[in-house]
Amino acid sequence: MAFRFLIYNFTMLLQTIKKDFIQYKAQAEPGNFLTLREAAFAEFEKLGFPTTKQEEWKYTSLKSITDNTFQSTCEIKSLVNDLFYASIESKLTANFLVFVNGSLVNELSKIIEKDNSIVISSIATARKNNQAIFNHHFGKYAMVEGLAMNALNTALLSDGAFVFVPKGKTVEHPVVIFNISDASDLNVLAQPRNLIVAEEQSTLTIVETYYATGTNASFTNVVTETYAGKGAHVEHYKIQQQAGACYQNNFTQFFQEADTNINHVTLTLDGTLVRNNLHFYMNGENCNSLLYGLYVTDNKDLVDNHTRVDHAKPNCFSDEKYKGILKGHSTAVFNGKIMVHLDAQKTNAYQRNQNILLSDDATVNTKPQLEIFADDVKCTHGATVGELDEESMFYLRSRGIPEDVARKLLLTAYAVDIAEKIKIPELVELLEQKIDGKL
Amino acid sequence: MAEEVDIIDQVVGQEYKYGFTTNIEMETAPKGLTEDTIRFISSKKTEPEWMLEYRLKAFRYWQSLSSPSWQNFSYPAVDYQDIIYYAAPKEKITLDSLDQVDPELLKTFEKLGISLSEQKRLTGVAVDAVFDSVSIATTFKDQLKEKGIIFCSMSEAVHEHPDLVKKYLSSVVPYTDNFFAALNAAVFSDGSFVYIPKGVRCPMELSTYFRINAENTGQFERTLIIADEGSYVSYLEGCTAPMRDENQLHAAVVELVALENAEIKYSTVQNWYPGDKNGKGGIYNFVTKRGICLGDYAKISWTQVETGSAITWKYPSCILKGDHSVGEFFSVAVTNNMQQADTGTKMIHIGKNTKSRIVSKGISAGKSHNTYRGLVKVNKKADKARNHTQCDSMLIGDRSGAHTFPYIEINNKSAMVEHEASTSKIGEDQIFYCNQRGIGTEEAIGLIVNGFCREVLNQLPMEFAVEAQKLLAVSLEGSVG
Amino acid sequence: MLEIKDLKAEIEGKIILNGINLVVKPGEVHAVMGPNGAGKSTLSAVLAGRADYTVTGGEVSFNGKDLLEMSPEDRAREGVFLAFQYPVEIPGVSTTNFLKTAINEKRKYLGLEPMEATAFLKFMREKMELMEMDKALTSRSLNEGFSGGEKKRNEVFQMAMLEPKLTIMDETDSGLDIDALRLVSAGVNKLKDGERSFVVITHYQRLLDYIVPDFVHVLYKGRIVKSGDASLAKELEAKGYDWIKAEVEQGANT
Repeated sequence: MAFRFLIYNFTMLLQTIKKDFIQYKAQAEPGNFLTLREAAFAEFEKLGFPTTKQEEWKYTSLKSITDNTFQSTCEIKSLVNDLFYASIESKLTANFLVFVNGSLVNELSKIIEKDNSIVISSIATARKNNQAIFNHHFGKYAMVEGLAMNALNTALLSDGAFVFVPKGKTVEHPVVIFNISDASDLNVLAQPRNLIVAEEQSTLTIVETYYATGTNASFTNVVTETYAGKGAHVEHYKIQQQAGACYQNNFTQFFQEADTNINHVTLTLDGTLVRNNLHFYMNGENCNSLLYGLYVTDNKDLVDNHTRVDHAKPNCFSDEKYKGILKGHSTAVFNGKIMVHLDAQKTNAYQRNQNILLSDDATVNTKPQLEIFADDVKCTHGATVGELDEESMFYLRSRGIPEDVARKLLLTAYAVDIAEKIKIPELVELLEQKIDGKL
Repeated sequence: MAEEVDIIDQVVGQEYKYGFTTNIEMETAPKGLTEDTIRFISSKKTEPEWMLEYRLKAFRYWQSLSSPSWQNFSYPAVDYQDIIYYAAPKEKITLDSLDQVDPELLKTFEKLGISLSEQKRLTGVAVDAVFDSVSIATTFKDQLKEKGIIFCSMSEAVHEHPDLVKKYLSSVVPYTDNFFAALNAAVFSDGSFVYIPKGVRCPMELSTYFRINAENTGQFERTLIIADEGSYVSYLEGCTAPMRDENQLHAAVVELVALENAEIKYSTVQNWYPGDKNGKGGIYNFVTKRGICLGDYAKISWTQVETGSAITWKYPSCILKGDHSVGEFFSVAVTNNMQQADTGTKMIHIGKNTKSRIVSKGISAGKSHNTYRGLVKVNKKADKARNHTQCDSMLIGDRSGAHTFPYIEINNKSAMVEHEASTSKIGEDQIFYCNQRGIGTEEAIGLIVNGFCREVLNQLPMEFAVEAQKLLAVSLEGSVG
Repeated sequence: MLEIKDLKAEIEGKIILNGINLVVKPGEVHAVMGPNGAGKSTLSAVLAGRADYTVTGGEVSFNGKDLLEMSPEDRAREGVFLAFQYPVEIPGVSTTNFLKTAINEKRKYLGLEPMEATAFLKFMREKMELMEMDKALTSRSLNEGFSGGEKKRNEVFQMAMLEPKLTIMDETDSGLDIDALRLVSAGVNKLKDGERSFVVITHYQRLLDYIVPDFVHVLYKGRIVKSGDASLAKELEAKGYDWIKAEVEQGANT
């Protein structure tokens, strides 16, 4: 048994990673941060890369990643600028933090927020300027125990965004965390790490966005931790458009105190292999957690959404809806878990996963799960897989709309339902055009 | 509120009423499992060589496996060398004459509500009774014979219908399927065998009652039902066991084969001893049940009411191979006190235009855990497959758990698969409403639970539906709180 | 039949009923009216034995027996019927099955043999005709997916089946349009037999146009502050509750 384990993990990537960590350790200053990362690396070495033998990775193999070499690099090229200015996000009136292969690009980043008590910076800067807050929150919510990819990120994180909103403050403009993987010279590995702290009664909108350029492969392994203090309201959108040979694993953790509202939307419009892990933990009563997702897949792409909502306290509400449209030889995986803890009475939790298959060669594996340990709860979940509704198609055609137009009309309506959960109208409009183009 | 809790405690606290033992002289195999044990069982049954070979192959395979660990519950490890694999009443039994059956044994079956001697006068149900490892009596054999229907014990079938047994045994559940299927293939003692010939509609319900009696024994029966083209059969099994402090293992295998246009309806009312309030004793019910719709337009329908066993672990499944074939699974699982149930189904769509339907109702009370685990798989060539799954849980009291793990794997775009699930509790307002109409709290709970399960209970043959309703009420006695 | 003496009750420490006195004789129809929050629904809940309320004082006797000592089901079996303001849905349980259980539980309590299936069905058919009930309703799950009007009619139908001595109607008119109100009232009137008594709790007078009360009581701040005949209800309809409130406040001041 142990033998097999060793062989499987003796991969190219693992070697690179080990080298990277030794290099990092040689330069790092001793202290808590280093200790934390050493522990994380030990955990990663213990666990190794996830394999399909593990229930949580049953349908998603990382072999295509682990059998490859990826380098961490931070050289920045001018074509990155073009990509940035061509993007829909750059048109927004917003605060920008732009990262290429996990490193901050100062020239493209700009902060327009006037209130000086609000901090929008890189992790590297925050470790110098906001040490107390950083140390208080970093690594507290996205756990590394048993989670190999989180451990790997914690051990070898490059840089990332740090956002701090003090008590009662509202961030006027969205904060766009703009990530680009530049694989024009070689296969690149980026491990961004974001920490978002929204204190009591504060309000904040985050747009996390991913692009790629270059003909080589890229692997992004990102962790985003968000702490929402009592009564805070956080809007969080993740938009994935990494075209090309792009692999991404991300882990997004929300930790909610009482009375918080979180609205999260994930749009996966491109990527060879995308694994989204989205976790909510409700640590107080009267929390609202909204999770919405849309994935449009094609070619041999694989998009895997693993979500988990922990109703740890009574009187909380969660609503989850994930929709997929599958083309080509693509595969979609959905695994949603709602966990209602002991004594989390009066929980209301809803979950739905809908899939439309447009190709004979596409595959859907979906597993909507409920685990309930309290008796006074209302939980429903459901999953559907199928083609477009024939009734609706017939209705439109009988009104004289040709079949292909009718199909597109229905698909767009189906997809836009999720995009419209994003509360930035300019962005929604541009995204809708994008989605329309993909269909 | 406090008062209500008491009532619920009383309701749940009712004793298991089939817990008696029967004093009958038994012949047993020595404890433990070696090749010798298997040779012993095989020779006791004077089996042909091919059967022994099959058993030994399964045994060798089993030895290479380790017991599974993926399930959603924990249980003390089973010591497979501490089990008696064969136990049979010593008295010589002639199968076609009930008069020669040990009166003690007949009394046992009467206590269970299965009066074999009166069976002759009743119509409607033919019974095969399995006591520990051996099939004791099969009623209505002659009447069935006239129609060409074979309904006998597995040991008899091995001797008298070797061609059918050779052809179909292990064809749906190979011994390589899983740990317990391998164990069963190696040591299975007896069970029922049914063959319905072409175009015959079986005129009565066929039924098997299983009873574990002897101490330290495991029960490993094997059932094989073959419905030939255009035939129909409805089959029911019931199970009980004495109350004992140690856990006993029940690892059965059931195989169903439905040929073109044939229909098999298989119903189970499972009431093995669940252990006491603190989780001591009780049966480990690790069963592999699977049916295959081999021909076009075939249909297999599983209905189960599971109230007993300390641990239940079973997934009656359908392989829908024939085009237009249909698979159904209707289940009620009730857990109380420390019971754990992990049950569900697998619907494997292979043929075109295949349909499946799953209705699962889980009720958890006390500190019990009830898990639905199901798989709906649509293969690439299974055009226009349809599945609808409904999975409802009800929790009684706030120390129990309900878990739903549906797996849906779709490889064909014309599939339509829907899964719906909900969780609810018995509302205080519902109980008060019943109270106000003069219905006491206990009856009210029974009424509400039966209402919750109605879709499934409706699937049972009439006589057993009533029995199952009572069983539900009894299983939940003392559960409200 | 029903005698309420100085009844006091509270919920979660808040006093809702503060000394109610009411005597209902066989065959009488009493209307209990009052502004929102006066304690009308609490009165019906306490009489039916809902556990949320704590009785802190007073007595209620029903045909000489202490009603407050009895469990809710025993009160029902003794002949107290509460027509719920919000009838409860019980999925999977048909009205027929529900009523059969209820009637036989009551018969058991009274020391009678259970009613046989055929006798029961015959009895139910008669009552259905009398109440002009749609047959489809009785085979559907109890109140599940029923409209507001259907639910209320089902309450009155259940009343006809269970043949109570005393019926307490808790705001049966709420949420009903005029046609439904007429149907429900017609049902109730058919059940009046000179022996059976009714306590009709309502906020509005319009129900009392159809079910004409012998007595009208005004409940305010947990007490009956005014009693009269049917004309009192008309007066309340015309003038609202403010003048009663004013009278009470004045009384308290002098």
